[in-house]
Amino acid sequence: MAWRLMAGHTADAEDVVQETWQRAATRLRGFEWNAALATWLTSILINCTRERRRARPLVRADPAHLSLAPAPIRQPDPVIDLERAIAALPAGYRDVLILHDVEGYTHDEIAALLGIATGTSKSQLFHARRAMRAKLTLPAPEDINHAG
Amino acid sequence: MQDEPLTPHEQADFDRLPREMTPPAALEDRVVAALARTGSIRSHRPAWLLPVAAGFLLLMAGFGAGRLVPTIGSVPPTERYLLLLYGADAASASEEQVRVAEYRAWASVQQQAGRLLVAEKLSDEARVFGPGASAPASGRGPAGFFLIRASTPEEAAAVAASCPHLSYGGTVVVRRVD
Repeated sequence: MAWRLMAGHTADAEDVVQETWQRAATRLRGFEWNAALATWLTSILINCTRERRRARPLVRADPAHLSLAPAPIRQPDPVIDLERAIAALPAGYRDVLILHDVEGYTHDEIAALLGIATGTSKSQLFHARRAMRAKLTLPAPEDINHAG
Repeated sequence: MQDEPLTPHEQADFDRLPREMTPPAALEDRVVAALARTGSIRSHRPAWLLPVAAGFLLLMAGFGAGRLVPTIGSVPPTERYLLLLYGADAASASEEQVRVAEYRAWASVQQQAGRLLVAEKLSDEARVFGPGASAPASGRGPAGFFLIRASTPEEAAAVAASCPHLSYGGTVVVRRVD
């Protein structure tokens, strides 16, 4: 989840996991077990992710950006395309889409995790799915290059 | 606002997304060291900590509500390996493009499998320092590298053996990162 929330940037995702660990260890005594442990940990992870993104805007890490030069031929893979589309979403859309469509949280849970209204979560998901579809229907940059 | 439900095809693609990634051993060590530094744990790592850490990292990596699948203790440790690419048959510009596409497709597969950390092509230009040093002849140094993570030397070797560089007359040298 950290890797996806950080748009595929492995180094930042690992920093976020470390920070999450440290905060969880510090706060574990205050955890009252009236919420699922996974949800509690996810809330810490999300806060760490947001702070990290504010401190350091992301540079996307994705096979398309590897320095092994652009590829003229591209084998379509729905999963890779989907990961790329998710990573390319604005952070607010991406968070809701990952939490709802990938991790299976409800809108009420997402609202609590992100500190937003339930209606906002639904609205963000609506726009996130539209944006994701728009990105999936666009040809990848290497296809454009190849066509040219 | 209208609903924007996923189509069955989209849902199937989401279902295919991997939920768990094996955390690299180096990350576990980093986290444990950070916790020791802040006094959250004793500096002497107790035997139970690694599996618990691995479980926690898996939790962070992939568990969502209703999808808790306890796998604590089943996470294989990973090491980092450097795959150095040497030499390869000469190629025309168009052949080079096809070759690079093949390398990138291979790199994508490794990344999707959670193995690939870094991939870089190196310039032929080299400056060498040290007593009696002389620059290697053009084409003698590594042409590029992949930094991967693997659970065993055999897994790293299998990744290297699948590298398309070999099919173009190149050599791949595998070195574990200490």
